[in-house]
Amino acid sequence: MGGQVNAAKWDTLLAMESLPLRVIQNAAFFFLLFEHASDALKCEACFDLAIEKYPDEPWGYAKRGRLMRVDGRYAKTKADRQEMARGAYEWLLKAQEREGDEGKDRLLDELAVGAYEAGEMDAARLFAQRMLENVVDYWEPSIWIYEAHRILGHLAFDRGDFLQAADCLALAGAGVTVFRFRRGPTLSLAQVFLEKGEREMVAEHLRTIRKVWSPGWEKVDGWLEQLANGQQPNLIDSK
Amino acid sequence: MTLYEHSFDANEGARALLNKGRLLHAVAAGQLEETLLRQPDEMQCRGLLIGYYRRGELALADANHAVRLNKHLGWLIDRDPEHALLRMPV
Repeated sequence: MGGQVNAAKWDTLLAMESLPLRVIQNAAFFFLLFEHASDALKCEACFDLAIEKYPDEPWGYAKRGRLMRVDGRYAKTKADRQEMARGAYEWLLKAQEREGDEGKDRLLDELAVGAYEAGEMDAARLFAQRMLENVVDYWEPSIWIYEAHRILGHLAFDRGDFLQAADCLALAGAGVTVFRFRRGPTLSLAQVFLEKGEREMVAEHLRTIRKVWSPGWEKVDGWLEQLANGQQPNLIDSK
Repeated sequence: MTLYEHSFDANEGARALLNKGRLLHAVAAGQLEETLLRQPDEMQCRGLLIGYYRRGELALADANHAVRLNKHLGWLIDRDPEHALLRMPV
């Protein structure tokens, strides 16, 4: 339906000796959009090509790190997940090293989550705190506020400080003014509280989120209904 | 300043156009297609239409949308493969 024709056009462009970074970026987004297995590999190849041709630019490293971080969640064993999380975090650090002064905070959200998943708890806390200090500079502040408190909450939860973690969950919801995207917030902190049996706390959090996430009303109402009926909703994987 | 930063404004402009295109209805999309027949360099129209055709449910439900989306993407790849409209996932 035209997709293969356009893929061939990108292949031709990517074979050029003199290749602007923006062409590599656009080709990567094209292959990402089509999501066939072969195209996913081509997308990865674009990241590698960007690193090869523009080793001082952060883009290729950042995308490699993000891809590995997302892929790592689907790894079969905990050891594999941790190894991929550590690999992803290393790519993200390489990207961070190459950011200029103006871009030095661009990757804070990826770094905070990446450090947490890689088991680098001190670094995760520092990156999350820096996110809160730099909220105004981010194009979608609500996501940063929520994500920073989510990571800080997970760190508190993991060390058994449930009161602190509950505060973080409340702050995550309270700091948000709007979620513009259908995907909405990552509710992993709410999920761990749900698994701990804190159903009313989670329901309250969902009611708060509902006020600022209109594309997710249907989803949130479904979860609230499940909670009211004594069921255990999955707040993480639900499409 | 990195290349990434240079493109920030262009990215934001493209994102706004693509998101606006998602809200189009079929009649308006048809009118934009007609405009592009007369003025193929009218990038605002092309950006709106790319956003319209990329709206997930339409692209999946209607094969014609996928064909038209690829026609517009192909036009851009041929003429300006660095264009920000090719970069933004909606």
